[in-house]
Amino acid sequence: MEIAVKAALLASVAAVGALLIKKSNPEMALLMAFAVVVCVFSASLRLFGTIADAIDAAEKMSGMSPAVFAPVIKCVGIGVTAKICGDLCRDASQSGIASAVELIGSAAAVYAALPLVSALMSMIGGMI
Amino acid sequence: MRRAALFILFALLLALPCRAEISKAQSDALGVPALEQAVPRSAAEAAGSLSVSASFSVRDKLDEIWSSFVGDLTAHIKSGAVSAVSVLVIAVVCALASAVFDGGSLPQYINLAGCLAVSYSAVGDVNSLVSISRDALQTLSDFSRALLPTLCAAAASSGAVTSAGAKYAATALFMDVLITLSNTVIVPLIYAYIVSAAAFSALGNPAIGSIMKLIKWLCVTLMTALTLAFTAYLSITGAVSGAADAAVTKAAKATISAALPVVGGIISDAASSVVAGAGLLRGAIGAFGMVVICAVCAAPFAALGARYLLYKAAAACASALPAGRIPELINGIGTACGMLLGLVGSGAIMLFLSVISSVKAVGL
Amino acid sequence: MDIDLIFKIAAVGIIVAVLNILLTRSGREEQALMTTIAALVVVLMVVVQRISALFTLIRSLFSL
Repeated sequence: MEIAVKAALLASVAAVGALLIKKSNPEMALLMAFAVVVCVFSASLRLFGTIADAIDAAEKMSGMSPAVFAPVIKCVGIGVTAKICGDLCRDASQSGIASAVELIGSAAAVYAALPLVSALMSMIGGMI
Repeated sequence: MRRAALFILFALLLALPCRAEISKAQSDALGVPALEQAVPRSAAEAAGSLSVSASFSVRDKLDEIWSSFVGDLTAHIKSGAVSAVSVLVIAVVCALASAVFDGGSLPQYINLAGCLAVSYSAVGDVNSLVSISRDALQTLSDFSRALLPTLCAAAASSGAVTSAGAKYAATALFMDVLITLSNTVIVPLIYAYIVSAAAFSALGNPAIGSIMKLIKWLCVTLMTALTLAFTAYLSITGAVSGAADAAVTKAAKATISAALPVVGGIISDAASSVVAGAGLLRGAIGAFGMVVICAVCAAPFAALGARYLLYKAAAACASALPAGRIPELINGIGTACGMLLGLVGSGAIMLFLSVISSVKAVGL
Repeated sequence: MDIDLIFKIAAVGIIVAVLNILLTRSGREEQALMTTIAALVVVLMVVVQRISALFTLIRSLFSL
């Protein structure tokens, strides 16, 4: 679990550095924040990859169709992306853009869950 | 003196084979072979070979049924554990996602997707459980159509003349009412309960939560009311007509003795032994019927009970995680399995009560 | 984890800040502005490449 400690250290050092540069060059400070987010996020995604493999194994063991798990995983991915992007836009004092990104993230999450809704409706309709 | 003693000895020796012939002739007349043929296949699988006879050991058969029930339960728990684990995995994923996002609307959408996934996987499960319950109820009803006429005929021929017919009519009526109610009202209500549980966990609207509670209350009340009404009807019929039975039987014996001056006494005594033989047979048919009912209910109870236990356990594990309202949804699905268990249980209880009241009918 | 990129950006940021101050003080404000913008564009291109790689990774991982 050194990766979490490394990420924490990197983030704190970068935050202090961004504060230093912000006074003279605020755009560079923002770009540095972007770069830190990209680094730490890529590292965490590699960890997520291991978790996703475990979830895949559980899915195969349960014999449930992938169509049930996939929308949940997609929603999580869309949610993660939209949230981080929105926060970065808020860092750049663009809360309008942030809200727009979060709105489209929510819409995309519902869109990803739609196949489940229609499958559930058709199943219940078939029973009753 | 010696001649009288020899005569009595020969009379006694001749009496014994007669008693055995009366029993076999009686059982054929009451349709016991047809009853043995009508034993459902599921009961035969659970309890082995079944027949109405003096050597029928209820305890041994019940032990056999219990071991088959435990075996079925273990097998169903093993096969159902996998779907319970998958539901738990969905809850864990949603809990992780909610932990990552503190607030905002995104955790709600992930919760929504998780609830839909759990509902989809549960509805398929519940479908198969509903068909098991429907089959079990139908099997009980079909077997009751074979058991009750034989049992009531035996009860009637052992003295419970008026009450036997009334009990048969009552049981047949209430079993039909239960099956019609279960197909038209209770099973659709159970589906509606699952749908409202899914909607409540996805949207969180308290109005939907109250609808959910109302549907559950309605189902439970219907089943309880039907069983209570049947019990009350049966006890009233038994109390009222039981006294009438004793009176009618005594009157019949007195009439026979009075009408036929010499042989009336002998004929009424022979009638008493026939009635006593039919009473024994009634007890044997009753025990046979109860064992078959237990055997029919063993497999559905194992399947439904296993699912109920698994979903409740999964809900308990999921409630330890911050997974939104998914644990309540899993709990609701477990409750739906419990309601199906109650449905099959009420049918079995009604048949049991009917058999017991026929066997314990007021005698001579 | 690619820590070098962060330090490179930090170093570029500090150098550009220092150059900015020097050029502004010596009266060459347009050159100062051009240096700032050039550094920004270069860093932006590097960061955008990394962001694109990240989104590809997200798409493959969550099967979006």
